[in-house]
Amino acid sequence: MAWPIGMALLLTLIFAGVPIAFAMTAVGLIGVVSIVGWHPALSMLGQVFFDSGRSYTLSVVPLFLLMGNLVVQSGVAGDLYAAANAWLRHRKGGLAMATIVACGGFSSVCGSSLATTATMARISLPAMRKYGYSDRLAASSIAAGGTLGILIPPSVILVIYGILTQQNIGKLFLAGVLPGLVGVVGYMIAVRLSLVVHREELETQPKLPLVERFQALRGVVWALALFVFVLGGIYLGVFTATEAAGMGAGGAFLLTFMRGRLTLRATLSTLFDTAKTTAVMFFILFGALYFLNYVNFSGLTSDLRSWINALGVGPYSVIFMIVLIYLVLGCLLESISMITLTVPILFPIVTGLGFDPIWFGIFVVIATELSFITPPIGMNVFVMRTVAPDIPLERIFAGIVPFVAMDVVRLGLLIALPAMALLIPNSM
Amino acid sequence: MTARSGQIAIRARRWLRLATAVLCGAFLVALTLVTVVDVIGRYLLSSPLPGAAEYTEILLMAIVFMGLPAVCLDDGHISVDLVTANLKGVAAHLQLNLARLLVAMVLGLVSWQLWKHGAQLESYNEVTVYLRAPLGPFAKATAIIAGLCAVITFFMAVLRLPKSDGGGV
Repeated sequence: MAWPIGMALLLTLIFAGVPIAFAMTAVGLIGVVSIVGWHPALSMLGQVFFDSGRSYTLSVVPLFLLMGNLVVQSGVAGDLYAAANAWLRHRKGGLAMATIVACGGFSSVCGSSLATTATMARISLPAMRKYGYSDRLAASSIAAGGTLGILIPPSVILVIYGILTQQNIGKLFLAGVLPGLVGVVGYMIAVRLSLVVHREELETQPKLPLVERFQALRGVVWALALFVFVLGGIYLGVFTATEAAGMGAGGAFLLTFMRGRLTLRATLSTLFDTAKTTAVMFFILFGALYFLNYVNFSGLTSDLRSWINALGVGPYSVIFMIVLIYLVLGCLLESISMITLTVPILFPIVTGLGFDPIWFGIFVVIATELSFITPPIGMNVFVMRTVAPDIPLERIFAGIVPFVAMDVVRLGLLIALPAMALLIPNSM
Repeated sequence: MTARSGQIAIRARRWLRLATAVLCGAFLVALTLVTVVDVIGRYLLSSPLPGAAEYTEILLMAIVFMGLPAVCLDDGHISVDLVTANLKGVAAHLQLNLARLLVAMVLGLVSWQLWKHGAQLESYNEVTVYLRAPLGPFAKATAIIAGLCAVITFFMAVLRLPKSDGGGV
């Protein structure tokens, strides 16, 4: 089966609502059978679903998921918001800026954008509404802030990228730190832009005395300590990313216990959710790995490469085209499927053009972040909807424009200044 | 489906969920402990946990496959509903259950091949390097769970069960 047919079949199944993992396995199987025959195709199935899963490095997935889910359970998000508020509430749009900062802080101990959005929405939306912020600004700042979850380490998406491309997950995490901070600053600028564009007049709160501001930080010290412990451990080479994940999960257990939230019922539910998400993600990975065999046999990558050569376009034109591909796909697919489908195909091309593999990981994540907040299926916007069903989708999407603009600027910065991502991992 | 068999199905589903939840939870806690004990042992007591990497690998697969039945019961696999979300009535039913049938078929194939893979590993007497844990029976266990999931998904399609909302532990 030639690859254009295989790709068309895969997209048809995916849009017909077949679970991504099984669509990839099924089409991969048909494709591999058509090229090498039944027997090897079937025995590869057993190998992919058993041998590639029984991998020490892959244990980062459940462990970082567990860490993030425990941090949600620990209720530290409320303290994070209170702390950010104490420092920002006297500024114009302070509550929205505090939302962004708190999202950034939460992302530093949680690797999922959806969890970050859902958690912060429950806390900061009522606060912003109370002080007369428009739903447009409040909801869009939460949805945008939530995207930081997958960039500021730990990050589930970076883990998946690292596994698919066999890159060092620790280095990927470190590379995400600076662009994540740039993201926080960019979104704070977007809040101010939004106030100007929509002529929103907001009352500011009186400034808190310095003592009280520092007191507000007490509730977040341990969460920040957990971040420093995990990332610092990776940076100093004290532990590998896999070990950092285990230590992070252990630390998150401790954090939840210290906050009195480690109850049996809630913890069992957190553990079960983590296991289910792990199973879902592993079957997508298995499907992607199996499908990758078909991609390799079918010569898709070399065809793409010879097209690029024939067109005679430079490396930056290729990167620009990839940005466009992600913008379009981001409107159609959900993040993990988008990454597992595109990265194995694009990675050899991009690195072949001389781009850094770690840099490309950050590039892919920022492009994915964009897809979380752009219509028609911005996942974070939908999560906002489940928390606040009374806000119409159009209002959130209307408010999101300045945030999307800042994302585009950040992507441009990353392309112009690769050091933004590579400075920290290269200093290891 | 009669009311009685419906009751039994619901009760079976609840027990299956609770049992897998407890097992998954225990495996995840164990997975965390293996790393913590290994790292702390290495740095503070200069004696890492022997075979830590192998415990990790086995626990990981155990979590993935123990989590799978609940995912199948919940229709919890990630799918794109951009097109299908607008389907109603018969079309929506048809879409959901055809998708389930395809999932069941793929899971059935995976189960069959995992079993064959396990038998092969057994015939080589394949064991892990440090712990000497036999891999064949372990692969066969994953095959059984995958097969069970194929059967669950198949019956959910045939009985045209409505989409579950997940519903906690």
